[in-house]
Amino acid sequence: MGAFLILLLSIPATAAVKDEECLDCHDKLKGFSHKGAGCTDCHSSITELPHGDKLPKPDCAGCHEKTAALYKGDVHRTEGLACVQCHDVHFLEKGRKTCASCHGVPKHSGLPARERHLGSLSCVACHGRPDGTELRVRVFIEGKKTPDAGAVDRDGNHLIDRDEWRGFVGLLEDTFRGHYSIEKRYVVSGGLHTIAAKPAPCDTCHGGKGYFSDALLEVTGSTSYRIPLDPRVFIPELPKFKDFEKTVHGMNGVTCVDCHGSERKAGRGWTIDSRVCVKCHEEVSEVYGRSKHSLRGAAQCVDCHNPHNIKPYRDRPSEARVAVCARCHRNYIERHGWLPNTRLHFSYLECATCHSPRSQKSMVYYFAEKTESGKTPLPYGRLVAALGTDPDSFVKGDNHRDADARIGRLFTILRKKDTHAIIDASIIVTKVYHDYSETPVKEKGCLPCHSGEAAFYDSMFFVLPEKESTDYVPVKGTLFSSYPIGTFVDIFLLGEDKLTKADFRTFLWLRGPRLTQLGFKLIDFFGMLLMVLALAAIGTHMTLRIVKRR
Amino acid sequence: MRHVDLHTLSLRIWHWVNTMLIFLLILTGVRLRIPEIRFLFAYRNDVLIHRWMGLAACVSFLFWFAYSLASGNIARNYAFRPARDVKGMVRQGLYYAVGVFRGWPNPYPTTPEEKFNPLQKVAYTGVMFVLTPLTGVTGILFSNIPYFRGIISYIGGTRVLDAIHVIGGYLFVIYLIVHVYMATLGPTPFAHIKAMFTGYEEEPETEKADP
Repeated sequence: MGAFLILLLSIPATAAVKDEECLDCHDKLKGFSHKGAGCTDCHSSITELPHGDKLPKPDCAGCHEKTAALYKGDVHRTEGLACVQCHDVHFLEKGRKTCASCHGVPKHSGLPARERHLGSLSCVACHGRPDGTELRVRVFIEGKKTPDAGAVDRDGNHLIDRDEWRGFVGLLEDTFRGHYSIEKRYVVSGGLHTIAAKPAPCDTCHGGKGYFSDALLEVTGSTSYRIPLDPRVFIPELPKFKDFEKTVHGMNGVTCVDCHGSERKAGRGWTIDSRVCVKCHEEVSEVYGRSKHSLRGAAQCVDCHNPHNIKPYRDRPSEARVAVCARCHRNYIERHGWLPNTRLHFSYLECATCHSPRSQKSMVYYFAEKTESGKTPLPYGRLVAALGTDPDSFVKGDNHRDADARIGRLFTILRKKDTHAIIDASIIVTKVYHDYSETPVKEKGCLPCHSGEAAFYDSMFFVLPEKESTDYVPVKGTLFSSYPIGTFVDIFLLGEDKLTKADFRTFLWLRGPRLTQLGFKLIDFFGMLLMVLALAAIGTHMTLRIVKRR
Repeated sequence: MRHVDLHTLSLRIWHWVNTMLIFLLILTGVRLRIPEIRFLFAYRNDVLIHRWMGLAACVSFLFWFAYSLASGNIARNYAFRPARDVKGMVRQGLYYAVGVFRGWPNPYPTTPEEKFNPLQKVAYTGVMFVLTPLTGVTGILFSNIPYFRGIISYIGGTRVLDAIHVIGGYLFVIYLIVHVYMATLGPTPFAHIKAMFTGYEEEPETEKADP
């Protein structure tokens, strides 16, 4: 009995007023729809008819508690907009307003890649705080056998990176042209009631770990599969501006609009192409323009160089330089199977050493120490700690000796404090000539380096680390003959000779250098000559034996 | 016909093992010298094969040296006796140049007591006591240049070391060409070669053979 009374008391008194009774007067609202709610569910102050003239406004938050809580931080709320100004509460489906209903199509004139952003994203992606984001790239293939996942995820790490995506698109173009389509969807859910006064910063998406950080490639065809996708394939990461200041561009005062703005004026969106780079790098562009890379459309500047992270070329370790070429020439180790100590060569040298003969190659010396992983250059801090002063100013402050002697003195002091210190040397390209196609691919010459005539003996530097960069002090290299420098032993710069086809042509007096210019290779000439003579003598002897039946 | 026992089993095994090693060393050595030509293996493998076969050949040489010293092979067959051997070289040379075609008997037939004629004695002494050690030692130095860098610098650097090794290689090849041909100068063209498998030669009582 008690329970019945509680139930009876809990039935709203408004239940007494029926919707039909309301619509008798409010006939414009006939057919209203609010997800099943009745008139008095919202207009709860009406308990009898006729009702009073002035009624309190319905409280949406009574039902939409969560949304109301979110909306408290929305800029529209701050501006005094109530729910009904966006939502037609009596006809929810018919009367839904969009952002454009009030804002039209904003110019977004300051937005980089305007068309791309506006075409792909909803307003809330930037202006709201969405509940979820998804990047789905769907590839549909019809009428042909779908390539295996292994052909797409070539390194098998279950993540499609930029190179793999490019490779996949190339495969689609080559093999499936007319049989495939690609659909990219940037799905943004929620966020309509959390519109902020300022749009989200660019690095929300372009920062690596923000929106759309979980991306997926779906391939649909004769077989279907999904592979996670690196979102940076489609959403490029913004440069970290703190680091940008340390780049060549940053140090030379290049700002964003110097590249992007000018490019925008050219009406090409915000995608940088080589025409932007030409403005400052005219000479390099001219050389590169004549090279096979350029003529065959293989690569633009930004394919090899990241303008937001560009460092002086000679400050990059050889691995980083090789990595630039290896992005396309992936099988470079296999292609250089003929080269003795292939990996050792590539740990010391970059591709330009051989493939760009007009690049300036230099022998560089530096302070180093032997570690388990090899020889490591001594960092600035270690040198300062050992010397008690900045090494560069130490060398430059002494004007009474030449650079070699000054560095020799520096090394003597360093060795007293840091007994592990050694002087090591390496060969690097100090000025790149951007044509990598001058050396024929099949030319396998060792002598450009392994000979006393090697060009880098005329260009020697001692590399002194500074706080933020490195200083290249020109040296003659004479002093260093007094110190044990491992590289001369390890690299065998004056190494043994190898015979080439050209040498054989010389042997046969066909063409090439004169016989007397062959140096140690004359051993081969006389060796082969003696072999031929021995064979001829034996042939004659044998013939005579046959003739004489002996 | 009588059986003349010439080669012990140990020496025969050593000979053919050596043949295989030297064949591989020449094959890979040519590739190392002329990287542009391609044989069966990749360059990297050629380097490895050359290195390990070279070391094996050095071990093989040490075996021969120890065995020959212990068995008296060196004293018996390699000791040069100027009073007899200088004249003998001329006689043997004349035999190869003229006598072979005229049916002269071999002035220094192969016997178990003295296997080499004076010319062979000089040639084999040169090969076994100069050429092989020189090529072997330079090869060992090449096998680990950083480790032996002190010695290599003393010799004059890698180019000089390379030159010595390559000269040794060419002389070895030339020696082998002559060696193989000479092996056909027995009573029959294959008599000596057969003997290196069986250990003996069949020889008529009155006729003499040449190794």
